[in-house]
Amino acid sequence: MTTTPSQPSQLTLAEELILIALDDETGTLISLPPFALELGLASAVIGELTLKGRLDTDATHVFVTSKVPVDDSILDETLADIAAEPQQLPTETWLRRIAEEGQVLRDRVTMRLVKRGVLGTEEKRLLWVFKTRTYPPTSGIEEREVKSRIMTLLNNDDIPNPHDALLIGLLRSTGMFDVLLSRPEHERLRPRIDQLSNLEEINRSLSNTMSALQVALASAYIGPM
Amino acid sequence: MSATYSPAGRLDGSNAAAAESELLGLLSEQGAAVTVDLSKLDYVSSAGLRVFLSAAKAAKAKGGKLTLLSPKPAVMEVLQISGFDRILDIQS
Repeated sequence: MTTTPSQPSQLTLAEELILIALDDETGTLISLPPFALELGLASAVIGELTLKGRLDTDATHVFVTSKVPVDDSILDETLADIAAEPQQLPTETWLRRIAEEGQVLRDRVTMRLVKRGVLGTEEKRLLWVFKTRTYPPTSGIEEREVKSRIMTLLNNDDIPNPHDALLIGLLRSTGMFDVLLSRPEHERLRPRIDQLSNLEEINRSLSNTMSALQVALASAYIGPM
Repeated sequence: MSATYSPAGRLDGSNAAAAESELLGLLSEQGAAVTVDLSKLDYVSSAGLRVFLSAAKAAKAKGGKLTLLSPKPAVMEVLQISGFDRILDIQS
């Protein structure tokens, strides 16, 4: 596959989330809690639109601050959907609504990373029969840059920029820190992860949505008590 | 140099960029001490909170100091929920 030089600093939150969600060795998605990636991507899209000054949030709602497109089809479609809604809806409602198309979103973001040369594609056979496509990193530079940036921030007391605070919240709520960090390291860094995540309201909404979902799934599994 | 910045009413996506620009201007000098008087601020959104974070980051980089002063209860609650009270200097 032809690749073009990528620019790590220009990756969106959703692109960075997918990059970290892919196993370096296999090029397949790591195991995450149900719907974690879909909700994480929904949160990444809303978060990106807040960074671009198109959306704003408070403790309860998402609201549009500008309808001017940002020249990004994924973001502009979401912005148009939110702008078309006659009334302001709770942040958690938008997260669930956008996450309903989470698998399509995941595939679109993944293909963007392929087009940018950050990921390659490989056809493999599963059990010698089923064809499957994997997305190994082409160089791994971008993923290493993202991880290095996050680990540096977690291990010092710097004030984060909003992009990194949002990303840390995404990694927390999707359970990716369980994969990225050893258990002792995760325990040591948990207060800092929580501190940085909570700086951004959308992270708290995502965390609440994930918690509610896990309770609902557990109730459905266990049955009525 | 010390200066006071006094936002009033709402600090949200509609005026956050202007507020950030003004605050960063006040903090541009090395070692500047800026007080943000919040006594007339009624509401702060996520975009407004980012203004404080950006200003605190700039102050730290320049060896300056940023103090948030006299937030109303509703604004203080937002600052506490988001953990800003553990990162920023907030005085009642």
